[in-house]
Amino acid sequence: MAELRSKGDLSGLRALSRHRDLLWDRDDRPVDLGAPVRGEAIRALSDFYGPEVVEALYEAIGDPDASVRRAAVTGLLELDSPGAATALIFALVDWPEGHDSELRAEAGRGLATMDASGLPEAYAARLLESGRSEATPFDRQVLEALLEADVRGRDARPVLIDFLISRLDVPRGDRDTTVEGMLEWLAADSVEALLGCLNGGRTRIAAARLLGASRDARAVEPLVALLADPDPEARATAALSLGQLRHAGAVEALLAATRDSEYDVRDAAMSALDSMGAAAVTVGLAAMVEPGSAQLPPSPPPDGDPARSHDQALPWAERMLSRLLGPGPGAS
Amino acid sequence: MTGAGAIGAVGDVETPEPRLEAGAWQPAPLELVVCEPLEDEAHRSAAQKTDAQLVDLYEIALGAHAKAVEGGEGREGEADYWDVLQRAIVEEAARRPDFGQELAGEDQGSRRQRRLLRKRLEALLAAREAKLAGPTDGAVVEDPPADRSGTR
Repeated sequence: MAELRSKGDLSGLRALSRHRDLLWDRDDRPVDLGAPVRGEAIRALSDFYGPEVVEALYEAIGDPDASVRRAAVTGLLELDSPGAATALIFALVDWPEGHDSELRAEAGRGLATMDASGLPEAYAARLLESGRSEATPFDRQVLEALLEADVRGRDARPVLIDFLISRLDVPRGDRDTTVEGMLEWLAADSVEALLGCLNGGRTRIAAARLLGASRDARAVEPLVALLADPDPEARATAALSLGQLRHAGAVEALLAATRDSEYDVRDAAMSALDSMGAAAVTVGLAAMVEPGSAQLPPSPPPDGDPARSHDQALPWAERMLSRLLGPGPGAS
Repeated sequence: MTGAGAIGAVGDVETPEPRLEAGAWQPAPLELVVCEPLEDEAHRSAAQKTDAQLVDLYEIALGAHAKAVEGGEGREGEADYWDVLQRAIVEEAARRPDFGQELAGEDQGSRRQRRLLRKRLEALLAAREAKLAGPTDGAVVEDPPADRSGTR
């Protein structure tokens, strides 16, 4: 080993990084005497540089022996090159869930400290290409760490959001849940970019869906406008998202949508109104009858008793309903 | 980047002894599209080494470069790689104002080891001095390439 290293024989070191020396003990259990050799070869290779070194270290991340896997991750972090960062991204995205969790977390944190640009987009791109159906909480942790450490500072977030939004443009009927999952995490920062997508094109349906998940009131008016879209799928999505926003200002438009010519839109509008709750619908109706009255009862204090605040809200809702409905048939 | 996207599963690596592979998994084929020029990578690598590591690597690079130039052991294609590493090490040493000072007073190890270290250090210090003194790029005392213009 030392001789190969001193000769700079990278091919020889690479061969040793795959060395297996199997032995069976008295209980017929296998012992891999090659593991220390592989680990040493990986550490020796880490002293050098270049794509071949990166490839050898990357391959060793899947080694059966934990010490070799650790040496490979450490080596890639020490190389601190764009190639090494790419290798770590590939490994992190493919890393089996629950396997070597500590080393995986270290690799994720270490990746964020590496001196390479565009890591959040590179990670997201690899995640999308990996064929995974969803992004996991671990992916979110890595992406947040990469964004936090990015040399572009706060500018890194919009770049990632623009990249993800560009990937929303999928064929009709398809849905990229991985992209949408990542955009949901970034919802607080992505509302304006998503609003810009509502004007047209295939991305408007996915954007409408994500705006519902954003819970941001700025999306109410644009989504109400989308209820007039010629595409029933866009109208239905807008209706469902308005339901998620739970904003009384959407009630009138949702009521109108319950008379849509398409079943899916009517169904979505009904579901949205159901999900908004009686109080929000009542306020919305009141606003239709008496503009300016669209005010919800005072919110309970954050640490208030929910049951008590519910009791306080009920008489208020009853008063609003009686104003809307007028005196009952038996009233004098 | 485009990838095959094969998600590895723990233990699914083909092996002569599956019981050994409890911790193994198969990462997807790596596509190193995002690479930087060898020069940049060599400089980046050199910048992270200690003085002692630079001295050690410099000797390796000198020897390997000489072998590659000779064309022995099927390493004909490696000359550029080692040439780039040599120059990166010399430039990194030149960037460090106190380079080698601690190593020169090193009293650890046997007499033979200390003598070896001093000899290696002297080789790199001489190349460093040449680099600091002259306008030529990548001065290397031993085995200088015929023409290095335009390589960086």
